[in-house]
Amino acid sequence: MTADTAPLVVFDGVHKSYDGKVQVVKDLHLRIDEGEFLTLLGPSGSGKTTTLMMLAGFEEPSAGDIIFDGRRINNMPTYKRNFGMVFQNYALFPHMTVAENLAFPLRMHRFAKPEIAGRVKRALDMIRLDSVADRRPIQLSGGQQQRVALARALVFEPRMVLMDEPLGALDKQLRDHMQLEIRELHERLGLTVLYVTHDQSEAMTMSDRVAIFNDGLVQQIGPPDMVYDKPQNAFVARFMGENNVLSAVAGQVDGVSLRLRTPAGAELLAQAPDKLAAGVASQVLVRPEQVALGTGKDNCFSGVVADVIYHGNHLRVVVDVPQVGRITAHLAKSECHLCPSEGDGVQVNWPATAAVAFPADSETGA
Amino acid sequence: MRAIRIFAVLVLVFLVSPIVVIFPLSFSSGEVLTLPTPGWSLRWYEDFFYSSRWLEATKNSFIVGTITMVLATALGTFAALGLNMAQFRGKKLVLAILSLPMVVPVIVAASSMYVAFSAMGLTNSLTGLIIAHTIVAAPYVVITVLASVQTLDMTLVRAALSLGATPAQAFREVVLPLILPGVIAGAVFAFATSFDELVIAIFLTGPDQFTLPRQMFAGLREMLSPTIAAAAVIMITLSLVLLVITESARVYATRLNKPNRQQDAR
Amino acid sequence: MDRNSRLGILLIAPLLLLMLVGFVLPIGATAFKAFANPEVSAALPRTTVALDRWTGEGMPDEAVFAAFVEDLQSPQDNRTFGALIRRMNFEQSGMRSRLSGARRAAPDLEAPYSVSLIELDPAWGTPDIWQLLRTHSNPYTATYMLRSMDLRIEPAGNIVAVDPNMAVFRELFVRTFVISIWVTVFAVLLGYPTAWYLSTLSGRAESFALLCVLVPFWISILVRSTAWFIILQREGPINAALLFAGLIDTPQAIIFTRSAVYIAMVHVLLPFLILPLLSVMKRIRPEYVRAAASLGARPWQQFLLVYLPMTMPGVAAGALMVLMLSVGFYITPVLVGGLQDQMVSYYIAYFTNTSINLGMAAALSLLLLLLTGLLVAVASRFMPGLSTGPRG
Repeated sequence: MTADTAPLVVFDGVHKSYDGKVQVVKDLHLRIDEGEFLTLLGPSGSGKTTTLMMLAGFEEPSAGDIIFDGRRINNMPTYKRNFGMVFQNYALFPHMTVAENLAFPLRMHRFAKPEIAGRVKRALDMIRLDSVADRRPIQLSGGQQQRVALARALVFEPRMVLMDEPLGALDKQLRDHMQLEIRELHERLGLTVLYVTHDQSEAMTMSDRVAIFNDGLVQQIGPPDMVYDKPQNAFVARFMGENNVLSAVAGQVDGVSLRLRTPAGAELLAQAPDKLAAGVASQVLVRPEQVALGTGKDNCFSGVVADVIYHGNHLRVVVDVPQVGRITAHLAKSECHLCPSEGDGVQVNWPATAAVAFPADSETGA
Repeated sequence: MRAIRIFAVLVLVFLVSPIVVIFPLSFSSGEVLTLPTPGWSLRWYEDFFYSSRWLEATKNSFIVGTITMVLATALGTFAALGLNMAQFRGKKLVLAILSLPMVVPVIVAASSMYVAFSAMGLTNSLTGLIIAHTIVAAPYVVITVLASVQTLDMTLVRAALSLGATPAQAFREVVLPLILPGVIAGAVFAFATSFDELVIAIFLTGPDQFTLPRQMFAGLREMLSPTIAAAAVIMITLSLVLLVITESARVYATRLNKPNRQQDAR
Repeated sequence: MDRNSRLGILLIAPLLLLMLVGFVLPIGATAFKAFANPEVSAALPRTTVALDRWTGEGMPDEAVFAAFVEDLQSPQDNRTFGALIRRMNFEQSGMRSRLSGARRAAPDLEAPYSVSLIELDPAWGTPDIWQLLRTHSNPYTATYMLRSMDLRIEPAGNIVAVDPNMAVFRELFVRTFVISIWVTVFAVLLGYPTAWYLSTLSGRAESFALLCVLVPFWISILVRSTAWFIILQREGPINAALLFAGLIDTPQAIIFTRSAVYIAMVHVLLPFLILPLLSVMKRIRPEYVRAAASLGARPWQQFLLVYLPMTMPGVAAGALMVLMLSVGFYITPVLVGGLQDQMVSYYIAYFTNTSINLGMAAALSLLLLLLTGLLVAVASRFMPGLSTGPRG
């Protein structure tokens, strides 16, 4: 993330089309710094996997350049790129034992025999799997296979590691655990990681920076908290978590906030990253965890509780607000004593800084 | 239900009966092929192994079968890999042409090849028989290898490339070991096809090139001697060896690749 | 085209080339031979030209006779002339001696030949013989295809049935079809319950039962037919057992009968029905039949309304495979059947190897090929991945 050193990877105006008509990736400009954990996040078909495949060398850009360490690598064959890669279904070689899988990249890179043995041993220690060195991959559990795949991508000390939805096939508990393990490896070894996922919480947990893809374009790139709290467009806002979506018409700017009016006549205060001219049909997005019960300074309305749903660590309270629409609020368990029940009249409010307004015709996406 | 089970068991007995009956007949000490045998002896096997005609035929069968196996396996494996790699118009037609020998009645193939091969001077020669057998055996190699290539997960090749393997290394280290069971099964089938083949041999061989089936057919039409039963038992034994080899290759492939387990028909 | 496709085509090329030259071309040549008629124009080139000018009405003029005698006198190899006499004798018996006699006498004949040739053999004075030569001086003929359907073309050009005592081919095709259909029916009747039984087994019992199907499947057709040949003989084990049991007094003729053909062919082809059917039955989960039972279907209704329809694709696939294979059967009927049990294949072999009439062999081959092609076309609608075929 340091600006004074040259970036490790640069995508410079990269386009990709398979049929010459549909652009899967459009005019991509992206830089990855040494030691950075960058996640490409987006729905399927958004171009994130194609971007990874181009960097891995399985696809060639239709236009633009990919620069690695100052060299153009557009059509350099994969095996010369020296990137470790972790695949969605691990792609462990079924005819080789765990140890043979780990030795494979070392043999391909012509390491000396004793060196190979030593590295394989250390890699097995690292993933705490030295007891299964002589097993075949299908004799391992999903989590063990995952760790072997990870170790195989790291054992030859590649300049960079590419991960294509590596945790997609694991159950939730194991996935959470592996996220931390990968994050820890990244920090301990100072790895440069390009990670592809469609799971926003995974991206938030692991990344230094997140690039959100949609429709072949990077919608926003930045640290996870920035992307979550300050979405630049409606797609990012919606993709990065749950939202209350309210229709309104833009009015005047009032200090740092914009005044908007709902069709039923209520007034809303929100932030507008893109300047909205008065009279423009807009959408206001508010995250449920930003909505509080009771009275507040901005955006305070009365309504009737329509439903209360217990959700493990929090409660969802759905409130019908006549002039605004249906509002969902998340309440922490600790606030349970405040909890209303169905049919109660309540007040809801949210700060003007927590609401974001976008033009109504902008990307709505997922 | 019980009646159906008994019926089915009887059908299974019917299926194995000729094979089971021919074994004791071949060990009979009598001149007539009937049961019960007057006594037991190995005289018909002796007859087989002391007869230059049977030995020559056995030798020819192994020569033709082995060379056919090598040629058909090489050509068929290349073609299957090519079919898997290439995308072009008319690919379906090519596949249809390559599987033609499996659907054309063997008598039509044999008669047509006889006419064409005699024009090229390839009748009454082992070379002609080998070429003809390669043609009828190769489609089975193409089908079995193609099936195993198509179940091959292409991300494994990508993984190998990403780990520094050149395309040639990726083929040798990853693709080849994984399709090997298919190649072996195809090779065994090619050998069996040639070793058991009779109709083409009737048309393309003279007495000097007689194969084991051809010699057996000639023997049946001349005089039914129990030596034929011994020859049949020898051929059955070889078929069983080949069956064991293919089944082992199949079991190996199943162990290697879990997903194969569901796809298996037999 | 990308690099992979080019490399792929390069890998396919050797086998494709071998297949085209060694298989497609010979079969194409066979299809061509079914219509080819080169014998007259090759052996009698001048006569061919002269006959072309003749109207075909009445008797040809001296020019035709002169050309004919000149052709007979000209030195030519005996193979060409032999092909001519075989060809003409096939069209009309008696032509062999007539043509050979004319050739022997040709050097001594004197002009006008329209007189001296008729003096030699009055048959040369009838228009029919010249019309016959004229018809077959055309390099293409429908004779073989027509004959395969017991039809012939008269010199005047109309198509009529051949003499009843020469009509064998229609009966041959009908017989081939009847045998094949009965074999298929028997195979389904024996194979369906067996496949069902196999599908209910598991573990060791399943492996053992499957082995009972796979072992015969792997043993060559010749060896299995030989086994039946031995078992069914007059002195064979079956007759011995029946005699021993006192069921018969004298050995029965089983070998060289239609029954023997059915027994051996059903035995050879049964695995081709059982194996595809078994794979279909294995995929049917028991829940379907249980659901039918829970909804009030009686056992026979469960079978007829649920299980049978679900297994029909397997039956169709297996039955078409058996039908397709049995239509082209050769070895088994030759070994265990009599002359009255031989199928089309036998006559193709006979015309190729024994009577050396390649035109007839080609015509029968073409018809058998078309018949099989039709069955394959039907079969491929039922099973897109048609793969296993016969061996030997």
